[in-house]
Amino acid sequence: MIPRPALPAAIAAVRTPPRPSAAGLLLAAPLAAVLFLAAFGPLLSPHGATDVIALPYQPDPGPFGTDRLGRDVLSRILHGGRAIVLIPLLATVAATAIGALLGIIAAALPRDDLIMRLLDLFAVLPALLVALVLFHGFGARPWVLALAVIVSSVPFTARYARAAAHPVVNGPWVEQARAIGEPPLAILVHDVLPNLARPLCADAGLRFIGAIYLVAAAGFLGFSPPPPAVDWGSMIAANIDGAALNPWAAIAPSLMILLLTVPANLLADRFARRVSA
Amino acid sequence: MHAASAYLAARLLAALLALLAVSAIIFAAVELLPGDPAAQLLGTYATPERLEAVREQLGLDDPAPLRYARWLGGVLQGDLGSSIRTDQPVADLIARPALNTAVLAAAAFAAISAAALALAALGGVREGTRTAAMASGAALIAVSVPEFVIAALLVSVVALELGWLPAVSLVPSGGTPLDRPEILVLPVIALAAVGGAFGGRMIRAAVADAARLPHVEAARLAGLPERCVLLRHLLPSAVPATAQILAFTAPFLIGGAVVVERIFAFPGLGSMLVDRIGLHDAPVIEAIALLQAAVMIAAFTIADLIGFFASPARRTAPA
Repeated sequence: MIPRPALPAAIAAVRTPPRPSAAGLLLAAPLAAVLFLAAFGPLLSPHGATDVIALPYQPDPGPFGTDRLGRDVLSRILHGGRAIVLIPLLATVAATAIGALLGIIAAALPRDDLIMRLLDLFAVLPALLVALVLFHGFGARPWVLALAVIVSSVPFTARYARAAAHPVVNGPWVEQARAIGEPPLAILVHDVLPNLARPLCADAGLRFIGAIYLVAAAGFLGFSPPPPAVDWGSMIAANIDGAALNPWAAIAPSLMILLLTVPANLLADRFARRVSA
Repeated sequence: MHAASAYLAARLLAALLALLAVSAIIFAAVELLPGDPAAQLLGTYATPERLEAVREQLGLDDPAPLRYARWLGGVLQGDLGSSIRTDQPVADLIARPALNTAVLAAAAFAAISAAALALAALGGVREGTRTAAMASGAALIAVSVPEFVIAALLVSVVALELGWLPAVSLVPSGGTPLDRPEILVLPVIALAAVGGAFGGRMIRAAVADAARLPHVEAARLAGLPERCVLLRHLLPSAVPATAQILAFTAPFLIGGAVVVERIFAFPGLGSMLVDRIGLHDAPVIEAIALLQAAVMIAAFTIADLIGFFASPARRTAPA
């Protein structure tokens, strides 16, 4: 067995796991709580998502009162998280896989202009515009939301992955693996991907937040799966007119989205900064 | 100067080619995705004969490349087609909303630039202090808040609870939002918060990078007065990156305008786009999407040109 060249110091440093800090844990706690409620909220819900329990826009029953049709805001909050979390999560995983693959291929090719230029055309289109055009063709189904996330994040992930992969695929250990005669797939799995895992995770964190924005904004605009499905974005839009009677019907879902996006963004930013430092 | 004009020509040509390619993507996405416009138009009145007649009238039976060429030819001559719902010319239909959105976006862009530069200056001047750390933290939190959440909170608290500013944007007919500037305040705040915070963080990092450039350090070590270092050497080096960052706020403005217009019932392009998606009015959707893409491409092109002409090294270097 031929000994492998040592990893460059920068990459070796990136590979050492970070120590969790107090601030990191402080941010992770509300995020974990919101993710838990999004996943298991329907089991904890006192009422069904569509049960009418009182008159519309009452501030009284439950902590948040009732919405425009007299349904329990708390129960709808507990039912409305899955779409906001699950679709962005799955779509971000798919987008990161596709973007990373395209980026690594572009980095490995001697002339990579074509892939990047094609992707740049899609990067010009705002994510929400991509989503709206897809809704026109396919309707606001869950997989269409996921497709919109993928189409609008792959160009950025690929560009980032290409930049991160460039020193790796042209580095000495990949050259040596090639010289030994390892097949391309083995080089990808053993030599390239482990060195890209952390930067790709950092990028995926930021893309995940963008995906949450997109799905929540689509719901807010009225493009979400039809009732009985419920999501926090469409709850804000539906209840804003009654804000003078029961402001919590619109504020509670807003706060849920904030408790999801703010800690997630702060954590992703810390992680991305640590990877690039 | 020869290198500069060559760069200018090349960059403008690239922008036009990109716009052409994007127009094909938009047309393909709107026209070729499933959903029969004739069936959507007729709804429950559809009979096979009527469907065929409408398809014939709209030219839907022609091959896609021919339809694209016909559409593009019209666009190049300033004919954006007619709404399949109301038969009005699309150009007439979108002119007024486009003007309203342009006013809103221009006000928001001015606010974003001012907020971003102020935030960057605060962070840069007080580098390493508690004020800088707080400004940076506040900016990061502001970046994390979707526009529509800010807008919803502004509507429910500032407009409805306190009654300080209107919750709904009533633009006088035949006028512009500037005739009633108070309707612009809340939408501009909602639009500019995210972009301003994003821009502020990025510009601050760009200025910090410029401060570490060798020629800036050399100027400082040569004993030039701090003001001279700042104005002649440091800030000019940060201009290209700053232009790029401000161009990158364009997607925030365009995407944000769609949701912010919706919540304030602002009669702009974003509201119209959402309405027409619901109505499956393909010609209007295509025109608005093309306009938005053109603004994005223009923003990036202008940023590149500013970067080129603001940096002496790139201006004189051989291409």
